[in-house]
Amino acid sequence: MTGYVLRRLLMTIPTLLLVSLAVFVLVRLIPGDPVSLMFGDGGTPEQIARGRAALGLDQPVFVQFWRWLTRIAVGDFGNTITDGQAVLPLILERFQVSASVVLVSVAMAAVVGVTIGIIAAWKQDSKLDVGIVGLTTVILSIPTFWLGLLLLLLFGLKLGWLPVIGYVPISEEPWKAMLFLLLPVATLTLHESGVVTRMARASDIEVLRLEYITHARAKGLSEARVLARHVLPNAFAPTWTLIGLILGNLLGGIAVLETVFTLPGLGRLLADGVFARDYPVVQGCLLFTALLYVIVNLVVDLFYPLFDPRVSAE
Amino acid sequence: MKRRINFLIGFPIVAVLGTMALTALFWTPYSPTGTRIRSRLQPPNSTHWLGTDEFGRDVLSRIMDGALVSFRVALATMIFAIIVGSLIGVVTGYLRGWTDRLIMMVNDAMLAFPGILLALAIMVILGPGQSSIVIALGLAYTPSVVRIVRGQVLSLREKEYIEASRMIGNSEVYTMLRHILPNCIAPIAVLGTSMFGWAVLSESALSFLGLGVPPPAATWGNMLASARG
Repeated sequence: MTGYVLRRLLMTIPTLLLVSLAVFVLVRLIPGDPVSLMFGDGGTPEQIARGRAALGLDQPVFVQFWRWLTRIAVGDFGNTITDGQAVLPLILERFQVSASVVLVSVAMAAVVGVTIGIIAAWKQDSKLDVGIVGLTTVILSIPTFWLGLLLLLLFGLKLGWLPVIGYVPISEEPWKAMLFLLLPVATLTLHESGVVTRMARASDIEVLRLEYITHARAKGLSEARVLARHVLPNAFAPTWTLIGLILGNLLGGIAVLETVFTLPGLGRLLADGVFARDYPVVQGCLLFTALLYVIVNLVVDLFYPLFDPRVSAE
Repeated sequence: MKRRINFLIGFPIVAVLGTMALTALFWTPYSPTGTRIRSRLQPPNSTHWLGTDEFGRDVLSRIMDGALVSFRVALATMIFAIIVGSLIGVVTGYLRGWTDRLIMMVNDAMLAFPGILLALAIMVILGPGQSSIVIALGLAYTPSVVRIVRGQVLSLREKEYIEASRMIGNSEVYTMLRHILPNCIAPIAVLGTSMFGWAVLSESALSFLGLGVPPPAATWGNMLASARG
């Protein structure tokens, strides 16, 4: 067990290095010089040269990468070009918004998806199962931003139950914040439970065909016990991986949904950074989401042995 | 039973969309980009079946033309990702060793970015335009193709007929192209079809964010974005 944890931890180090290298290269590939951009049209050549020296842009690329890496390591992500704010606190602030939406949605989607998935698998090929599969197909085919817009149209404009635009931090007015977060969470939950249901159903069906399930039934266990004790634990691993992937993908990647619901989240920060050509923000957001993805996957992997002791035995 | 239901529901939808996109190649009721200020923001009526937008452009024509743009972008993205991904996948899986380890490390690092963010970042480098979207989305999807093809190649290269091909003196490149690649088609085809769907959605998501196909060209994403106001 300790060996597994250590091995898994060590494996993340090269990944982290490569991810940061990828971000560094991506941002350096963007055409245009960040310093001339900072000065706009008003910079003299001397000012620009001084700015470049201050940012270390006159150094060789390897030196630049090393300096950047060491600063990242102590949490210095630089300052925004537009208003000189420190990037990391900005990212963390925006991340709270994205994280609250994503964590709640994925948790609910996991519970709903796993439950519906096992019911569909249990009643495989019945009308109920066909209905569930059909419904998930429909849900998966609908882009979240369109679904979100429709929900906004219905609950926000037609019925007037929920606010259409704006956001209040949970720390300030919890109840009002809930109203703003209700629709984005509902949209995301609906979509992701479709994804989880499919995966859970498929792996449940595979396990249901195995001989030990027949054996469990033959020895007289109730169906509920067969499902809960024998099917679910053995079929959960792929679903768990999928939930991890979804989580890693969504934590930084709900820019579109945040645009629909005007939430000041991480994805929106990145998209705005792209529009404003604010490279430190773009760089910081990319790096942060990629790190997040690696960490989420690490945590998911570390949880594996709890469901399946065979994983750590190797 | 379930197959048939899926087909009965799915085929008409695909057929209608496909016909719409293909028709838009030759003909749309009105010009999808032609503005007519006097007939702006009309509700659906007999002359404009789906109404007009804020510049008086016919919405039906724009939807048809947008379907064409989406199809074109998605198809090109799929082809791009599959060609680049399979080539890298076959080479890395076949050669093994350090090449394989190095390429897969970079590949896994690329997989750590949510696809849409990676595409966003690449769009910044390339600037707006349809070909940039294809490259951005294509590059964002390439790592998953590489992973799947490589996995397939790893098991293929141990097969007897591959050994036989090398033994009769075929070059490594010939063996890769003639014997390994064709046998990877099945997983590539499966991945390709679902990738087409993702590409349509991602293109509309990018356009919705304002970083996809630049206006006045119509895509479903930027139409939704401008309708949202």
